[in-house]
Amino acid sequence: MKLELKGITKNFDQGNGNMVTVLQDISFQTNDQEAVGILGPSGCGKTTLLRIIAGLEQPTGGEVLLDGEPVTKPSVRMGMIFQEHALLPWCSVLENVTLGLEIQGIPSIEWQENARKYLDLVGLQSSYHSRPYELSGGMRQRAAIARALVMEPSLLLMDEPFSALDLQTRNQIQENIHRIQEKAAKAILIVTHSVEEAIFLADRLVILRARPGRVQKLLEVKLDRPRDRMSPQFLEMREMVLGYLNGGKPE
Amino acid sequence: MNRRLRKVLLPLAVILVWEALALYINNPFVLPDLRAVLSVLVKPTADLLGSGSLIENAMMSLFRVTLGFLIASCLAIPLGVAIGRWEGAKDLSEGLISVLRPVPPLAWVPLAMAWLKIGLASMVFIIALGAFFPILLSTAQGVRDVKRSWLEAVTMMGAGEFHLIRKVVLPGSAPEIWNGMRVAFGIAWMCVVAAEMLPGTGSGLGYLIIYAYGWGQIQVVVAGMVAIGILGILIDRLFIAVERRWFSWRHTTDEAGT
Repeated sequence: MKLELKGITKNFDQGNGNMVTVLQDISFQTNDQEAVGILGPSGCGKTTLLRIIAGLEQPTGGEVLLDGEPVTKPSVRMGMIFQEHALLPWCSVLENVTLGLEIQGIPSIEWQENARKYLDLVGLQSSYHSRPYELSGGMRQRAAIARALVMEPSLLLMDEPFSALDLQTRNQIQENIHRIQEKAAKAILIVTHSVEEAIFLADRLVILRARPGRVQKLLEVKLDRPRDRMSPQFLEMREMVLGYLNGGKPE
Repeated sequence: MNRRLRKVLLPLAVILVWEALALYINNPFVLPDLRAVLSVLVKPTADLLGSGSLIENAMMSLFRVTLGFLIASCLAIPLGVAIGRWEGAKDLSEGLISVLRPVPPLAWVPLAMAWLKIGLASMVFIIALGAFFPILLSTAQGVRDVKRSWLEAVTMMGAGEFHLIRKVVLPGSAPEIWNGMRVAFGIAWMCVVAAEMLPGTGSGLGYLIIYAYGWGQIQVVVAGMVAIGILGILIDRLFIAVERRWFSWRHTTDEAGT
């Protein structure tokens, strides 16, 4: 699986005829089973960028290619985890996860087994029949991850998925994600404003700058896994990324 | 003061004042006393003035109102979904709806009689008209209020418009639709009673009270009114019970941050 962005540009009409450029000429690519973090200050259009990659929005210019094919509408080859879990509140956790299988026309005898596989993977084996509102924030987000994984996408898109969680839950779920990535062998594209989160999870970073959103720097994270947030190398990397984020070049 | 006590205080006061007034006026053709009304209510199966019992007439009214209500629901829900979901449908229908909606259902009575003659069809027409707009508007609103993130999440599963409507739009707007149906049933219930008072009707609670009035049987009139009120409350309670049972997720959605 290979994702390629070629000169993505997005303009929004502000309503009074004034066009504002949100994204300008963004190009990068990701490779198979790679985790890429998109990092940037608020207002850099990173969520818009992810939505364009997902096919939920159309770019004004440029194109997104998934294995060479242009992406113009949502595809089951990509799974999306939203900032707010977006689970259907009237369905149980299990029903939320099986919904995609139902829509894909997969025979119902296979639903349970598939869904259970991924719910167990994210550690929700005891919450099949709970409603989303009965779960904690972290559990909801894990249910949303299972819901995306069950479709067996080759690319998992995450839009600040953990920003609503407390720090402890966040760290836990980040480790979860790392394990999931290894087990389910997915490429991941994660949008975040947390430098730590990006360095912890990603193999490569795309650092954006704001107004208009454009690529400031592409970086590789060459840290051994599992990563230790307190290791000198980690902290050094963090300093460097913060330097790019602040617009300048680090010393 | 005890809350339960507070809730029954006003109804009790009304009954007391009524009884006092009835004794003072002492004219059963103007205001019957409590005992006379109760004696009608405690025998709901007894024939009244040769026009059937309280229960029989109530069943007739319930049948009519249900029929009109169901017809209104079958038309208003699909239309409401279309208006809420597609801008084109909204633009097309908006003008017509805003002109027709303020016309009271009873203003349609002459036309209903001209088109459908006196009888079940014209009554059901009036009832359905009364119930139609609340269901239509709340459905359209409910559909518009369906969270975008729910739709997008399910779109990412490869859902087309059919699945989106069946799996997200309808269940997501169901509480709002149900609420509109509850309001609509209240209006339909008023419409049925009014429609049954029209000349040419021979059954129903509305008929019963207007007929009893003709005979000077005011205690039957009041008993009929009480029956209308009690049935109205019971049906409303039924709607609320279903809402609590099926749509409990709605009140928890905000905390869940969906």
